[in-house]
Amino acid sequence: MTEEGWRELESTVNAYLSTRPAKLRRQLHLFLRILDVLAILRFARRLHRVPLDVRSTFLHRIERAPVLLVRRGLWGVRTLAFMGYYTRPQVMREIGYRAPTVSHEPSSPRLRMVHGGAVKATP
Amino acid sequence: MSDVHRRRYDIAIVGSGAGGGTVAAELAPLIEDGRSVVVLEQGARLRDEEFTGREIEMAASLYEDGGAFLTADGTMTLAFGRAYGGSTVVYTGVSLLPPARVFTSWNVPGLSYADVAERAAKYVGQNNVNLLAREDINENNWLFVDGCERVGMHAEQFPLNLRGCRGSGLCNLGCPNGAKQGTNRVQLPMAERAGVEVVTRAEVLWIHERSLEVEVRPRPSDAKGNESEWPAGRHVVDADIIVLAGGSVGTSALLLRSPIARALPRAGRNFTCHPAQILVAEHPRDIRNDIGHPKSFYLDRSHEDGFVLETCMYFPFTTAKNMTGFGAEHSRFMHAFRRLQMILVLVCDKAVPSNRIAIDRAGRPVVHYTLTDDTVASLVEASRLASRIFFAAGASRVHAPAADPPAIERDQADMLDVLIDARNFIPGRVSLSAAHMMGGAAMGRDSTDSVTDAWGRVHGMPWLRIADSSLFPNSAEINPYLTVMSLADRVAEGVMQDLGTLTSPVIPSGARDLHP
Repeated sequence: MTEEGWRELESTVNAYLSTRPAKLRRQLHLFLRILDVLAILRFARRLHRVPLDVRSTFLHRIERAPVLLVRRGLWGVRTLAFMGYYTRPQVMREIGYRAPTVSHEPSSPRLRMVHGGAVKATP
Repeated sequence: MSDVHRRRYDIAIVGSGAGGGTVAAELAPLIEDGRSVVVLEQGARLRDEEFTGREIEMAASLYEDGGAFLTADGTMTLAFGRAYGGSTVVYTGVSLLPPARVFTSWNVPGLSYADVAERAAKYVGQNNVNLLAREDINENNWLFVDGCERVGMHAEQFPLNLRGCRGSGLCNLGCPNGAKQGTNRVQLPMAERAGVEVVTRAEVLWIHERSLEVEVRPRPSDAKGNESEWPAGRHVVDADIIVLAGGSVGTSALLLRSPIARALPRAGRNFTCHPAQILVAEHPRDIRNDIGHPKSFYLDRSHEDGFVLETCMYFPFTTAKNMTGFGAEHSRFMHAFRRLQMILVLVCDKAVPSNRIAIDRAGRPVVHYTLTDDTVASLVEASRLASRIFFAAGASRVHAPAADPPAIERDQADMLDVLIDARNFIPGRVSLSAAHMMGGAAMGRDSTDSVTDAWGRVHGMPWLRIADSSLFPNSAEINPYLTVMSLADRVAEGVMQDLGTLTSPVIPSGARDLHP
């Protein structure tokens, strides 16, 4: 991802986090610190310095951790990462999402309307 | 108390969704008789041009907590609307009733399927419920129909409340074309034209006997929507009759944080929500999936297996979030977006004592929800069937959250029962969501088993009514909005009947603002 892409991602995540309670932001910060500590204990280096494939294996183990709080923490971090990444217009284009153009013209009915008798009634 | 605005109405309605909007429209004729009716809505009233279809900004504007409301243990997301029109702004317009056996199992004295069905027919007409024409149904939906037939099952078409659908596929982000006929398009404008007041950005904090404490919030500078119709600040609304329709979570929390909660031991109980998962499959070719109405067909296995499969198509971030895992495999599915078919697996959970709505110290709702073994078993069984349908429809690989790894290749299609298993269903690892919150102020016999009677009258408080999905004593086993409207219609009828005994004589000036 380009520098600009990272900036967009960070901007989206930061904007979202700014609307969340301070307690949640503190929990997130704490969880990221815990991930780093676990990486140091396991690999003798911080998580972002661990090779990508090893990091991925490590995080997949965290995903199945016996402690719910740890699993939840990772779920939250991945959700934020996806929010920052998959809402970028360039990424939406790349993956093939045909984001509709919203024009707000007066709507033109083109459907055949079937009135009545549409309620499901299965006794 | 000099900053408090005091207002008086004959009837105050809390919430403007399927329940509140319906009650407002039904009671609107009272305005001609000199009665006054107000609707208090916590969310904002958006202008047509503000519906952009962009995921984050629309979720922030239309959903409670921006669509990120989590259960107490953080393992399930609950999505419910907070806007002029409530959740009817963000649903897909599915309009059908549960089967009669559901009402029989609810066992509410005085409530019959026949009565609910008769009322539903009125809203089928009023909200233009129809079946999409074949040429307007996209390939994502037809693949589901085809897959169902190939596994020996029959998919049924959803009746939808659309008028002039242009196939944006953005129903869950608020229709940008105004095609979906929610209460924001039908009942609320009808009520307002008749003289009902609708006040947005108005959060009801507490209920006292025949009185509401309301906080009207100013419009944040960067937010969508109009300013509130009332000045920002604290208001007290006195009303002879109060109707709560803030949704299962909102109504329950309001009851629980109010002094009247002491007399309502069942408040917050009977909570169900149809826990759901999104299953995704990749086809070898592009399919028309994200253009067109997303939810046209369903497979009803509620009676036999405790689940319903529905077609669906979500937006990139929502899709990514709801898939299990991350990394290369996850990315591969996401980068095949044009080749993706989606099915929503929806379980008909049953009310159990441990699943309930409570409040925290600040009075905010907290939803305690744990999946029962039966619910997990149904999710797993539903995922297996959905995967069979995907492969039968020609998919090359399937992403099933309850498989480990989640990706299942076509040559593994005969091993689905082994690969998709309850042992992989680890809360906090798999994404779960729910959009059909039900219960919390259930109908029933008396205060030992319920909060209201069959007409939404709160036991022992004839001035207080409830008219939303919190009335459900148990799961509806299908999308609940038409049922909510029918029950709200009953509540409105009950209010009309009791009006003479519960309200003051008519004062011609209508609403009386005692402190302008």
